[in-house]
Amino acid sequence: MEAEERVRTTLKYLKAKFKQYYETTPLHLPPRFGRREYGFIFFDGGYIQRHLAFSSEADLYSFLRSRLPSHIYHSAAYYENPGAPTMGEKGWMGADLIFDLDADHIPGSIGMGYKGMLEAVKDQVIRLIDEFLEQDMGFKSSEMTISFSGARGYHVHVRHQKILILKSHERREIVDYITGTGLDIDFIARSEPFELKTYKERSRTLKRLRIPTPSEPGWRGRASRGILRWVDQMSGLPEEEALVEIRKLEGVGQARSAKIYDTLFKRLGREQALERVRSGVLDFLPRAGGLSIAAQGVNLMKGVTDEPVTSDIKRLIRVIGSLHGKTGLMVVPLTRDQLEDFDPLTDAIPPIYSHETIRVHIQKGIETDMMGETFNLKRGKNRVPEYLAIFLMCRGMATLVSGTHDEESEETV
Amino acid sequence: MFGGEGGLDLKVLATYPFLPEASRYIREEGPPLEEVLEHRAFGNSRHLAKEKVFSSLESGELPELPMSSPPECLAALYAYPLARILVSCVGDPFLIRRFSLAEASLARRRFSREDPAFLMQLSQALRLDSSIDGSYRLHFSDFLEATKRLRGKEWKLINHPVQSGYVILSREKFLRVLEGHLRNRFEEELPLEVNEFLLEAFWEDVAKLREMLQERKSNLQSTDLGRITVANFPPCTQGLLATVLASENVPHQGRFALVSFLNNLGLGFEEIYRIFASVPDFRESVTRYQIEHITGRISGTEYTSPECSTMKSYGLCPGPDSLCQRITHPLGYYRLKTRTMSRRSETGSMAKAPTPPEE
Ligand code: SF4
Repeated sequence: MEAEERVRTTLKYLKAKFKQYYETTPLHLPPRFGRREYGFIFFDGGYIQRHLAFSSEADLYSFLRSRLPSHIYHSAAYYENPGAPTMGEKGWMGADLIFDLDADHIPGSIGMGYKGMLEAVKDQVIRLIDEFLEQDMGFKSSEMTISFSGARGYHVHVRHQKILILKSHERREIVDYITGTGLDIDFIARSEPFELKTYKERSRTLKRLRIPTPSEPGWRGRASRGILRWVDQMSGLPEEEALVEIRKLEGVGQARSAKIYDTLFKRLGREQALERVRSGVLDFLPRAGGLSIAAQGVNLMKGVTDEPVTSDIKRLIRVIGSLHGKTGLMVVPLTRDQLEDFDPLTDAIPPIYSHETIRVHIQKGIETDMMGETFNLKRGKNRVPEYLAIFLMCRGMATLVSGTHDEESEETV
Repeated sequence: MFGGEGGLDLKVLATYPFLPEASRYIREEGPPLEEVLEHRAFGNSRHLAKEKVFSSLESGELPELPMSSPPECLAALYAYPLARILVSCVGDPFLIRRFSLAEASLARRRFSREDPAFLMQLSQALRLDSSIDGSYRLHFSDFLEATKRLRGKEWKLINHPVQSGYVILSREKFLRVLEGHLRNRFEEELPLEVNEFLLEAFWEDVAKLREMLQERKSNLQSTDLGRITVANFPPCTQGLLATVLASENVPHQGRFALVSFLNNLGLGFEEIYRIFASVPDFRESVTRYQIEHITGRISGTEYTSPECSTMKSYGLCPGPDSLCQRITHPLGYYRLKTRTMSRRSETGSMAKAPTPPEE
């Protein structure tokens, strides 16, 4: 009974906070506002309510203030009739190109902790923007809108005249490009004949493995930079460890790993090895070993993005400036430069959340960083700043302790 | 852009009649279409148009047209819109695909004889964001759009140099991309709207083409699939099978739908494989793997063919017929039709159709 009551007061508290937020803070609504579909999830649970359209921003705001959704989305697509109930009737006209990077998709992110995870995702989103979207695909910063997702990742919305009409298949190709999927190793490393040996009237062509040089466009240059990075990494390791790493390459066993190591760092030496790679040759290695290294170079450079989000041309995406109902944090618009120093656990906290403490009951002990402070909280009742309380309540890790009457009562779960 | 000072180069327009300039010429300067349709002087144009359509259906290749004099050029230029009108009068999706493919590959053959600078002019007239400096450069979104139906590693974006928004292509590939772009465009544009007047003008050819298409279809329906009767297939899977047998590209979802449908009807890996292997440009490895996968040879899980709502959302439902109204799954269609047909024929020897899966 008591627990139920606490959940109810917690919800009431959060709703009041969200209301206050939406009364004071404008959203960053997408271009072609009236052509978008909107979707909402509410505090009281239940399904997403979608297929809604608004003819004016004022209508949307009054909807927000009266219905108090916990999550707000708009469609990546724009439609002739965005409010129509079925996709067929909506009349698809085009869609922004959306990228979604989430901590879940970062290899090795488990066990990093929230803060570490967020840093790892940020590194990847920066690579996505700089290397893939700008350098290769040529999008300008004015054509990209970046945001913190409000939870564990980032979104990039690309609005460039030529990509709006691309369908799923073409968008999936873009994802494959970024994630290094379907790359043909022959496109990177080719054996080419370089010498004809004649011995007693029998001739034999010697072949060598050619790889790209670092400054070549697209994946060729990228793979070359990956190979350089790998050789460099190996050269920094003690022999034992390097051998273990080299053996991890596909098709490389005990004998071959020793041969690769000897060639790279004993016969040639680090500088010379790097120089050879830079000039586009990998002929000093056994062919199969060279190919494995080329493949490893590619692996090191693969980008990260969530495939279904990009290829689904009818997807809903969080409205920038709205609150994420599972964290209470803002979906913050960012420029590429702001991204560098952005700290979600400080910068995504809405200014209306206060530093005054309130009392919450915490389900399970937890350690977390917020506003540059580390909180180490034990299970049970705690006094914490409001911004942290809201974060924990939204995540379902705490409930509000209202009034004073239960101050002394036993804890029951 | 292709002619100097008022006088457009008629030969260029006749060679590339799909250029915006060509339709502008017809709209604003040449004789009006109505006249071309009726007047004896344009009999040659009408004849060439029919030849285009018939040979696209029969052989998939279009003849080169004579263009050594202005009247010949004019005839060749008008043959293009007339052929499109004829195709639209028939309105058959298979014919539209064949015709678009043939018209696009004719264009590629002609492109291949042009010098790079002129090719660039042409591609820009087609509104492709392209340029040339040593190699051909095309905006990657145009590349994706134009190659969306070409499968295989060599067409993946990732296996091309991409720089500042542009894919760098060899001449050979650039030509293939132009062809792909045109083919998509033609298919999207057709059928054009036709009226009584046009149907009247072409009625004889329309009837003949319909007959040929019908014949093709009944050949298909009597395709020997052993116990299974293709004539009882719903429009969706019948269309997919026809496309496969015509060696045309079927998108991934479509291949999945067809193979799982056949598999659910009781055809095993070998039988399905044989159907696909009869296709001339069948890509052994890919399809073999796919069929093995779907029929459960690899994983042991057999897949159930998608229900109508899924087919619709993948754009694989060509529009339901009357029987479709009574079912929600293509397998249900087959079962229903098989039942009614066997009752009608009273032979009772029809195959027992499987029940559609639980939904
Ligand atoms: S309604 Fe169903 S069975 Fe009929 S054509 Fe469409 S997908 Fe096939």
